Amino acid sequence: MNKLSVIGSLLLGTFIIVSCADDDDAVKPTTWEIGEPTATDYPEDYYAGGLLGTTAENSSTAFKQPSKAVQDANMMTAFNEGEYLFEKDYNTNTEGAFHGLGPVYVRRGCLYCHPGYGHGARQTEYKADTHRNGYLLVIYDKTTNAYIRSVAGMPQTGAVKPFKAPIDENQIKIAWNSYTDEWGNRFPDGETYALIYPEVSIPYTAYYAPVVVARGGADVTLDEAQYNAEIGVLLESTIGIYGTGLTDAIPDEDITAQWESESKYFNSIGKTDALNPAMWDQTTNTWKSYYANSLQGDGTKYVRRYTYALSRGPILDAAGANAIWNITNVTRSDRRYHYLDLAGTYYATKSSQDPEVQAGFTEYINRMDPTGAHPEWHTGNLEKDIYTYLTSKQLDAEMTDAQYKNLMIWHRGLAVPAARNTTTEDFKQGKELFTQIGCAACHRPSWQTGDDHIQDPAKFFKSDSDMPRYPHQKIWPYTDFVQHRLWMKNDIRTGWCRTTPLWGRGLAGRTGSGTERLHDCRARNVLEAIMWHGCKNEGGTSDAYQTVVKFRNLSKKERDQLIYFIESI
Amino acid sequence: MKTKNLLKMAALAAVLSTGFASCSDDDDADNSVVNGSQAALDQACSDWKVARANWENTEAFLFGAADVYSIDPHTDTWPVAANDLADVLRDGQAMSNLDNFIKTANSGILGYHGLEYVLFRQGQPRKIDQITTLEYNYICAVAKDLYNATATLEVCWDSKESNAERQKIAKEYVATHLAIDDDGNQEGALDGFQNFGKAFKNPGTGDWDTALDATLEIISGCQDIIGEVGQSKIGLPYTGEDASYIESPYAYNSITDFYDNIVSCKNALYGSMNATTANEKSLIYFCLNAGNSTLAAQAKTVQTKLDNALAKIKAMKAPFALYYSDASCKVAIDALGELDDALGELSETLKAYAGNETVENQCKVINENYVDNVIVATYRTLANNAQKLYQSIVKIKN
Repeated sequence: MNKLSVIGSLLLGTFIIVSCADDDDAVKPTTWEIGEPTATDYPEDYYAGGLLGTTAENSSTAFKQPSKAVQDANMMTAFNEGEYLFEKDYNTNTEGAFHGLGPVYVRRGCLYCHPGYGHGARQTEYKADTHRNGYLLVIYDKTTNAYIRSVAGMPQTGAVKPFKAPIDENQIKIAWNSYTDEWGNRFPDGETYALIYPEVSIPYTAYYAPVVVARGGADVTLDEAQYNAEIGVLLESTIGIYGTGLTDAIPDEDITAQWESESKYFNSIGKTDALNPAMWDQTTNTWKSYYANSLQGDGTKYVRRYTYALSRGPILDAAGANAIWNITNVTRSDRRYHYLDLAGTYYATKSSQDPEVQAGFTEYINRMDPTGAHPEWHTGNLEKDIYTYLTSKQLDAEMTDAQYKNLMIWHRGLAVPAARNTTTEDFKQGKELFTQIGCAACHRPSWQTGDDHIQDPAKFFKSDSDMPRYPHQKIWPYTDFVQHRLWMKNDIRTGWCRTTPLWGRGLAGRTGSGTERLHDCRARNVLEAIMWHGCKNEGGTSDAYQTVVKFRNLSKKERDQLIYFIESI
Repeated sequence: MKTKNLLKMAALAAVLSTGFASCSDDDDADNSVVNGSQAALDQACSDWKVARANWENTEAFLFGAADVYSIDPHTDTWPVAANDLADVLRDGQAMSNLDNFIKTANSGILGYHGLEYVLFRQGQPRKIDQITTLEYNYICAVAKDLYNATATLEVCWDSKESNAERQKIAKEYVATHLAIDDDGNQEGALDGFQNFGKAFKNPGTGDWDTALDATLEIISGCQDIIGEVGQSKIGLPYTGEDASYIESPYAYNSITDFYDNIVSCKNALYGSMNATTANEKSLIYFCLNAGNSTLAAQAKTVQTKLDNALAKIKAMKAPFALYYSDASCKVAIDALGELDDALGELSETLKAYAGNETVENQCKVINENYVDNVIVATYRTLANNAQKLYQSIVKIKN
């Protein structure tokens, strides 16, 4: 890893064939004459991450590479430290490397969910300690679509003794059901395919604390019958991390312009409910919601661009910045508190009253705070001490500021693999079809980055010199950063999903990442992913329905070329 | 800095003692000392070092089975989660069903470093009268699991499917250690099992589209570990970015680990285990004799830088756990950086021959040799020595 692959200056071609000794010769040659390679001009879409953010490495380490911007900024040491923080497990030791896990956690480290730095892999059970399980549980109130209040938004199934897991993962069931689309899973030329989708269930008994939802401005506790009828459980998988620094460099106004343009288009064809009303007002063609952080930051508003749910703005306060804290519960200077349930009280209350937790708490807290620096955790009133500890806003920082900064340099510094096969005829044909049948309308091929002055809603990073930067690059992520609806069976929560970037995904197998696609890994290959874009019998018609109809009517060769292109970008 | 690091190690050791102290209080767990011999413990420690060196010799090819089946984290996670380990030792349920417990346990308490933590202190074997029966039972199970993992690696790369007994172990390992294979199939062990050796030898059948792609993976695998050794394993403590991160501190084995990692690269590039010269089916031999002066010069540079990097690592002041800020570390870091650069240049040149029939044909030869005589040979030695380690750990008890 961590070796910059220089590209752009010496990209040589393929056409010299100078034969060696006769193949039939029984004696193997010990010398060869391979001649000189010839130069090839690669097309601009070869440079998926622009000149500053593309790596020519396309081996098993393709997603791990630093961008040229990292080296230009003299940040390789920091990048490597950041990489280590990403790669290793956190532990329950109270000192030393990678300490600070818990008291409850989603995973012990990052690689579990981002194998090979990419997408999670499909699972048939949910186990926090299973490598390549990139799933987060999505537990929501079907009557409001909101997360339940009594577990975390990213619910934990791991706990450090004496604490107990908010959800007992052994009771979680993931079933994979077959799905037949309106075409009977068959193309007009007879080729068939199979589709599957997940059905997840968590019994009421798996929850440690009572199940509570918010309704009409108040918290309501559900009984088992209500829970069974009103609570939904879905899965969301991780996606790759590479390239997120580059998409962070796209100006807010350009993303706004993309929404505005789609909004006007949909209005012009009378489709006035095409964009998520929680995000965008189609009647005024303006944002309805921005990303802002008033807790660590000053509430400045930023355009949303990350996660399926578009829950995040600039990368420095987005999924990775959050995950290194909330997935492991490793505290840092600007987050000296635990990530618990959404309401922040239910888990602490239940734990504080649990005799088994009380029995082990004294040993635990003496280990965590051996010098008694926090006397409020050692009063001897166990119920009070446990509650005070769990809900404390004054925990000691377990990750240093320097470590956090290095993690974010690494995060923003990961390059995108160059596109493969760009000079082949199949690639060129597939590329044309990608636009021709409409894929490119949402999977917008390219963007231009701006001046790339860094933005951090949490105000931890303040200077351009803190980070590797990507000014004025043409990049090829293949997304419009807009949410659309596919109307799949057991769809994503709310139904709205940001168009996922396609760059690099063809290398998933080689890098050890999950090769599956879509938010819950239901598509086992590109073909299935495309066909899941063609639903119209599950409550609505997919925004990509007409494109899938056109895909179906392509010849087998053309379909293969389109898939080849998608695997190559 | 040095003092601080020693204190941290002492603190880790203290965690385990705390665990023991409380185990008898909690549930009357067996806190007795194992009835064993110091000689047997010393032998186990010695065998640990051999099997450890074998593992480090595999780090130039961590792609494929080690990655996809998560065997690398399962066997080589650092640091040890000492507090969790102490918890397991007093967890009667886990201890009574150790073989199964270990299959899905937190990897921070398993593998080489889990064993190292129980076997060694300050670079020396522990005293036999410090090893409890619980610890003994625990390391027996961990060593057995380690052997199974290494056997799995051998089998997953063995395109000739030559060892029936280990085939059985591997298929059982893959079926029980993983929730699911890439296709999501759960019906039986075979569905989850892949032969990476066959895929690597036969372009277009697995993750490598051409023979050249696979050959470039050989270089990339080397660069991956060279970068990790230079910039992270040595670099992070040396630069002060993270002084608490030092692998194998209990056995004082760090510099040996680094050296063996680079030997792994030499083997990969020279086409055999314990290589001193590049054999005719190796990547370096081909580059030297391919009839292109640029490639030949770059291959020559790789050879020079490789030997230089090995020499500079050997010259580092030992033990690294104490001398990680010594100037000799920087010399080794720089030498590794130069080796990485040299391989990068070689790789760039080779890449430009995509589609060249002669290159493609010879890459196939290189890849076949690499699978059989580097990867499988190394994993086989590893599995043999991991098996030996398991047997000598069992023998610690009289």
